[in-house]
Amino acid sequence: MSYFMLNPAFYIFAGLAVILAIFMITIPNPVYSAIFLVLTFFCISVIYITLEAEFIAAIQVLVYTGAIMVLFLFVIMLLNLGRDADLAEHSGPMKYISIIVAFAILIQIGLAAKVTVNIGEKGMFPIEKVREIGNTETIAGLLFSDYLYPFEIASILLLLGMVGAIIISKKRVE
Amino acid sequence: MVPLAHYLIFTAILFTLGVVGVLTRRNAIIVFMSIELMLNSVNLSMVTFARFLNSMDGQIAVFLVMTVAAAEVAVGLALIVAIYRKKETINIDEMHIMQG
Repeated sequence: MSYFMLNPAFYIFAGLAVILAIFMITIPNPVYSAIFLVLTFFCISVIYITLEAEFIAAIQVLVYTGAIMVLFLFVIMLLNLGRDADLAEHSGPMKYISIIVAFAILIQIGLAAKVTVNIGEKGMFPIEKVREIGNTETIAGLLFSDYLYPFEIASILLLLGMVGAIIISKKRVE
Repeated sequence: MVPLAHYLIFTAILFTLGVVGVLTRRNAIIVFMSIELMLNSVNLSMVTFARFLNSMDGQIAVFLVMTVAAAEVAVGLALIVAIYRKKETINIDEMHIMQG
């Protein structure tokens, strides 16, 4: 039996995500790059669904492809990048050195995964229980009980990020 | 069910592509998008471990990472806009004002 019998959706969308990510880091025009990143995020949200994490898949689409990428596109259009200096890329040894570094990182991650894979205690949310309660309800229950402080800190962080972004990007008025 | 190793290989490849993007591109916005790709690959590995270990903690962590990533993107893009106003470029090789 081939691996593709296990769950075709995972393999199809994983392959698609890798191809789109390669396009994203190689294409010169930042607008196309952003569009390829949006498509990569969609593929990743499908993979969240194969892991039965529906809530994460939904906020992946809402937050990343909805909010963050709109922000990116707005900034790309705001900056009006058309000149050669902005689109110029590295040439020569830097490119090859970085690809070698990336391969070293890939091998290192692979070795680490091989050594430590599947170590850890089983939690108390098996898939049947999550299905019975509902994915979003389970996350909400945990967020408002065990993880209340991180949740509140995250909300303050978002407020600070918003205020900081406004202050930094504001035009100085003399 | 797809084995755990396949998910981890996929996330490792995505992370590596993000690293390549950060190292090879000079456009600050594309460097930023590559960082988002790395954050996403780590999110995916956390959800994978959460599923395979019957836990929900990984999904909570992903929720918080997404919050931090949203704040980070807002502030980072504001910084890029501010630098563009001052230097008229977003080529990261020309951003050496902190070099001393």
